[in-house]
Amino acid sequence: MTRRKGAALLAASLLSFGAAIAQAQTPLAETPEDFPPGPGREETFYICTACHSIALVKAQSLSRDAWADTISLMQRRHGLTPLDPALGAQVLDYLSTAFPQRTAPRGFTNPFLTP
Amino acid sequence: MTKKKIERHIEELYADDPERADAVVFGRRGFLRGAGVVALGAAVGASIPFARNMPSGLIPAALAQGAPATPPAAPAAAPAAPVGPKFLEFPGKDKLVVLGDRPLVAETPEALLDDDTTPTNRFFIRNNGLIPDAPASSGGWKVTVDGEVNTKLELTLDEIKARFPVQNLTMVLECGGNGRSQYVPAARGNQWTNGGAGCAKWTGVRLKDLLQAAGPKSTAIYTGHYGADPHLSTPGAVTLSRGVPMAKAMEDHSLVVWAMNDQPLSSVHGAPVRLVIPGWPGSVSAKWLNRIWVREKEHDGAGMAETSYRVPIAPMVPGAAPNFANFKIMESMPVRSITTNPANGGKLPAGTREITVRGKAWAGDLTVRQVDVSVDYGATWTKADLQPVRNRYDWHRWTAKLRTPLDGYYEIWSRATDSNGTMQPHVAANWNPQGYGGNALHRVAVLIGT
Repeated sequence: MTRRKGAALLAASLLSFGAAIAQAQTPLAETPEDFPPGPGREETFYICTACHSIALVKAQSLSRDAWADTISLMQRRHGLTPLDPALGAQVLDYLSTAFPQRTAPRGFTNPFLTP
Repeated sequence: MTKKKIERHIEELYADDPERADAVVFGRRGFLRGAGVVALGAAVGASIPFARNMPSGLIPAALAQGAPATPPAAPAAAPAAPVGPKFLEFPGKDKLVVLGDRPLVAETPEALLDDDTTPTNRFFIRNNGLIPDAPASSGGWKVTVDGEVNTKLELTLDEIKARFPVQNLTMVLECGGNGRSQYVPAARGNQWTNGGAGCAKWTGVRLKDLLQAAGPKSTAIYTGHYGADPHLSTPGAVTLSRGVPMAKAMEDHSLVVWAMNDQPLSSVHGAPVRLVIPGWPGSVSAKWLNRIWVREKEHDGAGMAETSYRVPIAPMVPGAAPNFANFKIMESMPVRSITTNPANGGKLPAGTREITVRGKAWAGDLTVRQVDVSVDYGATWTKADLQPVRNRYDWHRWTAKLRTPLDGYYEIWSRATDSNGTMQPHVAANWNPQGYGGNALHRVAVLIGT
């Protein structure tokens, strides 16, 4: 089967399930490359996007401890599967490197600043 | 193209090492059975080794909410990293700012909250799960009231409409995390500015009337609300279920609604029926409402624990790990004001010596006593004219005239004071891990001339 045919069939078959997904839902347009490069990017991408889109991840800027707690929270409260220690460390390294703690406010930025 | 994207998404998963992909992504949660597995396998061009472990979550994972059913063609080349906000493209909605598309979360820029009553197309969206299918018959949709009641009720929407007096109220609905982006260090969650709020006209019946028809027992102390929105990844799991003390549920303004701005609720806003419990975090106003469980204790549904929708009792060090015992449920939302015109980034003609500023202010369960506006970084303040509310929980519409002595850059700051005398602070206060209660004064920048 060609890749294109496969994708078309996938889209059609998923949409034909109908029940929970019929309305206003379109194929996901996210790939690991939408995350900043770094070791563990792909693993992190797939673990997070099993449930939610990456926009939520990219909006965070947390300390390493807070990222560790966030992974734990996803397991305690939102059904994230246990990660084996090596994978867990890789994901934590990636998240705390790619989305580190922010210490400047971002509630307001001067709209007239030019890059 | 969009289809190519889905191909990448699935194939990247399986091309190299399907077993590892399954293990990484799907773990041991849930199942995707029968025809679904076959269809997916065919689509991927290979069998799926751990199909038995695959959650139905793959279906939502392979599909995203947040775009029209027929999306515009995407560029053939990989898109560059997006710059600035991503705008919503969704049937019947204006260009809200997308905070996430699965679950779909979008906020309304302050300047789009300039209408006296927020049009439905400009009303923010906060989903926690997927959007459920539209029912075959909205009138036949059932809502159950059970638990600590004398008579379990199971009423269709048609019966609800016929049985209880209809209410029409214009009320603010606000996300509990509104203002979160102001926190330093950053708090966890969707990074709302002030746009997780809107004020619509709601048509429905009092929740009190349903509860009284069921007859609460003396043991009834709290409600638990359930909606039909499917969980993002785990079939059959409850997406979110929060509730309120009976006293809040029994308020005259706590409604079970089926219309928003004189139109039937749209699917994204909870069709065919939802709760609107004003003044409190929006998560208690369940969409796609199908059950109210009257509890003998504080509700313990999804979203009621740890630091979710909770704020510290004693102030904590910003960024520190929380002690859950130091947290209490967030009840009334805090006082907030926004300037809706001019817009942030607005340019005014050279020689403009006076700006007329418009905005809104609201204060959870309370009312707004005063709004002050400054054009000189808070050195001097001008009291705004407040219009009276149309009913309790309406927002206050306000205007002020500010003198701008020279051309140049100005910031308009607005700061409301609630009916208890509490003002908006200059910076988000009472830091907490999930960033509830951020209500720093609102700033917009304008340029006169130049």
